[in-house]
Amino acid sequence: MTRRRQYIKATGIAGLAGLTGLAGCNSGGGDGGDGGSTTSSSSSSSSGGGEPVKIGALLPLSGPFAATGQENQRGLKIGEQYLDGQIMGRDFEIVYKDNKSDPNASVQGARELVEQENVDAIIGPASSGNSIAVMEYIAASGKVPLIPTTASSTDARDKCNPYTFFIWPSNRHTVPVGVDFIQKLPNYVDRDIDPSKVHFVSLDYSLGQNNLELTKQAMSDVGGEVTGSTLVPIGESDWSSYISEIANSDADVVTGILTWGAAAKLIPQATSYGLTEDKTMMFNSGKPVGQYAASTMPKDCVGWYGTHFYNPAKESDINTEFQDLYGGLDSNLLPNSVAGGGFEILRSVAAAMEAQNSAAVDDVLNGLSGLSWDSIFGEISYRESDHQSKLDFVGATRVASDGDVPTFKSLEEYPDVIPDATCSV
Amino acid sequence: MTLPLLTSEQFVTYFLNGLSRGMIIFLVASGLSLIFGLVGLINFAHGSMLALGGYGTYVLVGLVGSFWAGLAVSVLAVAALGLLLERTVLRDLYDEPLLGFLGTFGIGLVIQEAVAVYFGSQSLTVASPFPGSVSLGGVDYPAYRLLVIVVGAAVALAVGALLSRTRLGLEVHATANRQGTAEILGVDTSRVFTITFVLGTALAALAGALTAPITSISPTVGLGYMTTAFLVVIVGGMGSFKGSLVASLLAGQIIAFGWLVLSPTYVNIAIFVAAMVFILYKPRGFFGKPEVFE
Amino acid sequence: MNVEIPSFDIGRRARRVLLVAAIVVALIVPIVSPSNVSIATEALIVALFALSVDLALGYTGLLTLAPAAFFGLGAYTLAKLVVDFEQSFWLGFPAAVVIAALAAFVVGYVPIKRRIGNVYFALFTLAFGTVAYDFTYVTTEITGGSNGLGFFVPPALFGVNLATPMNYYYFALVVVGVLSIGTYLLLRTDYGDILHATRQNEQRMRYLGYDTDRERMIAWTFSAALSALSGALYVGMVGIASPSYLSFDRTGEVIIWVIVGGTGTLTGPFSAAILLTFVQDALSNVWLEGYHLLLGVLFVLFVFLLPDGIVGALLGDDD
Repeated sequence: MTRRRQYIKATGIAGLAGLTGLAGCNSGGGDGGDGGSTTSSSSSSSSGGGEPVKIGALLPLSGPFAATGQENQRGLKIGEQYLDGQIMGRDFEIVYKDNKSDPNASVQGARELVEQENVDAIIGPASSGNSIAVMEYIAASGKVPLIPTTASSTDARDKCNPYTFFIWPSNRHTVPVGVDFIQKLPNYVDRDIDPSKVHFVSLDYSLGQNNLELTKQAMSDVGGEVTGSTLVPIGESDWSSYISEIANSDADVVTGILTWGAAAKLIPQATSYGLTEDKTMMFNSGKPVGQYAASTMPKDCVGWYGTHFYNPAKESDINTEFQDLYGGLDSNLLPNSVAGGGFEILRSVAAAMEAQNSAAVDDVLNGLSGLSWDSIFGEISYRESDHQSKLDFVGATRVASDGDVPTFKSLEEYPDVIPDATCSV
Repeated sequence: MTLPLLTSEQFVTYFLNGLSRGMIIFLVASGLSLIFGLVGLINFAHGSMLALGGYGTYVLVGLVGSFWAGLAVSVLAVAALGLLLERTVLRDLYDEPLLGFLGTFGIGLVIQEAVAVYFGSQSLTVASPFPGSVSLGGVDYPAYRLLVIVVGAAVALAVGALLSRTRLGLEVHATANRQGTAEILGVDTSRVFTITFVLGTALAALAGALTAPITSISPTVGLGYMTTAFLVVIVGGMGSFKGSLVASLLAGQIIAFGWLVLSPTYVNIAIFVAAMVFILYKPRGFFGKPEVFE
Repeated sequence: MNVEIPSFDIGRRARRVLLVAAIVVALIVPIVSPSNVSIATEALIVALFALSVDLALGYTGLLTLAPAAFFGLGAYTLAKLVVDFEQSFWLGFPAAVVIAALAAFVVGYVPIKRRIGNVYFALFTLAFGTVAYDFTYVTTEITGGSNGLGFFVPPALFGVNLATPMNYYYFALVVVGVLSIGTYLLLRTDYGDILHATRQNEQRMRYLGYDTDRERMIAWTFSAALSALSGALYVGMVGIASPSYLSFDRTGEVIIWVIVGGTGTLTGPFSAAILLTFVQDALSNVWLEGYHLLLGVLFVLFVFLLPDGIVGALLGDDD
């Protein structure tokens, strides 16, 4: 073997060894610059004192939920701007971890945030399945405040985890509102429709499965039924067979709940098959009438109905400021509820810490419980008994406008929606 | 399991769904089949070429405004990339299957990740050039999907004619058959390899561009198609262009009608299990020729 | 005129020193750098996984694209037993081995017996891996689907609570240590020579009277069982099994480690897995969105410039 190859190999190996050393330095979170205790292994918080506050953000930045995660991240970034980078007069930093839309990576990420980075609270995950996994880890070992961003399944809420708070509505918020709005649709739709029969469409994981069960129950409560359901595997991109299944159904009304990724597939593909001419589409949690569809699919979403808790035209100081800050971002979307979720969660964590003047776990938990503030969604609070929020909903549609973006038209109002508590922390 | 009775409108709709899907699979699979059949390379970068075709179209549509111009330029650009890769690194791997597989796998991975870094991981939509539906056989069917079927058929005819009626096609057959003899007879086999690789890559890019308005694009959009394509190639027969067409269309129909009987993921699983059986007992597929790389 | 070119082989003594140093480092990690314990545990477990893959891929020459399937099978077996059947955590390990060995036998018997050739074997295992992943994803009633199967914590062993990071680290260290050293020693015996020779020239071995199909079958099954054990160890650490255990990304990742380490060297993939796990973690803190890209580039560079991998190159012309 020649000298030159020896040198190349030696350098390569030295380089990799150096990188490992660097790895050791970098991942020694608490050993780094922030003055945290160097002997701490699993204790989570840095309380009081003058050390910077660290908030973990565990979000899907890749995988099927990446669109939601990246938007949550945008909300957090403008939240930082809104707070001027300071909580309790000290600097704070947000540590991001990608949970890859997967429960395994979610728990791993949570572990790293708690054990290596010593964060004071975790914001995220975004999906219900991943949130449930992290909640169990937090209750068993992690033990820091956890606020998922958009998890809606009731499986998460029914366990009343003392560390977890929810800003986003659960399926128990949205389903009764949705079913009621469906019953009122004949007032708004041009043709004759029978609102007692619906076909349900969603994704095949806890969000959709859970929402389906609740919708069946709620429909039966108003004397109707769910005639069929289509649950699409996550990551499926060509929905033609599913659209065929929907087109075949007996029901005049199609309902369900979608993620952004699912809406990006369903709305254009359904429109291309002319599905909206035969069926009335009414989905919960905003997707066809929210800002995402309006900015990415402005023509296709016209004529779709939905229930939502963010009214972009709502007049309030905080909404104006949020929209201004959002406008400063490099985004091709309009200011929307998902970014708003990240924004408001960060505000609430900051408010709790300020109120308690501490970032210690128990203090933050006390601060969040019962916290009430004026948000872009209206006035909201984390209920003390089960940490869920009360929200104002509207039933709405999008109508064509003169400009690029169709107009949000509010049709029915549902103020102060919150389900009965099913457990107590 | 009772098979529901279909109305004729439903039948037409599902049949057309199967055709449009099958055509996309065909575009991906035919390229793979040619490359594999001729050169013996398991091209794991094929899926990322599809993705590049989609992303290129996305970018160009944003710049130029015309979908077809965007598609054309994108396909040419990816073909050029294929040319570059083949000329520089890939031709050394033809005799080493393991390295060929690993090398193309690595290249595919790098392209996929580069795309994710630059564009983000979320799905991007490309506006359909022909929104709306067309009345056909009593059915309102999306116009754009019909176009995909037409384009796919045109490509099949064009490439098929290229392979069977031109001198180049003759050279491809000759090189696949007996490379040594072909060289003696004056065929520039290295040029044949290059042209085949570039053609296959261009077909994948075309598939990516065509599928973008239907399914939207993400960095991993090519992986699913590529895996399906590999298995379609097995069933159709390595190196057989006709075989990849038949098998692709068949796969499309199975997916389009299969959901009536089984949930779609199970249909996928069934296709893959069928492919496994073929690999074991009928590796040449239906149309594969014995002389092609074993 | 001949000049004696010194070989860069690491001598036997150097290797021993390295080994002792590695053991010492492994033992003191939790004490010296407690915040890195979880990463270190993960690194050890996936090193075992890489070793198991090298056994099939590098040592025996079976071009497998399904290692994640066996890894996931082991993880889900243990998780299922603990979560749904409320069995002992310890039962999970032998169960993982048995189920994986069975699956490997069923899946591998026909391809290996029929000697279908590298390329077809790769595609066959690719299809199998995809089927395993899709199946896990879709059978929500059995596997929990995309929600995953969990959450649980490991129990106590001889009074020591394994649910803390540091204790589980030592547990993993012992298990991984025993299994990897055991495998290494096994392959240093005649059995290893047989496998090695079979990879180099199967026909000749057959003429010499060896039942090469049986040898490869055994290696394949052993590799699968070892992968499953590493999966079981991994799920014990995380607490939840999810379809990502069987994903193609995971297969890709372990193959990268095997190549970078050096196919067939065993120690190479083992060390590369550890090294790259730390590097990946460090990079993700530096460039969260893009570190995968760097890894991919690293992989491509190795494939084209250094196909023997690090250890392969260091061992020089030993092969």
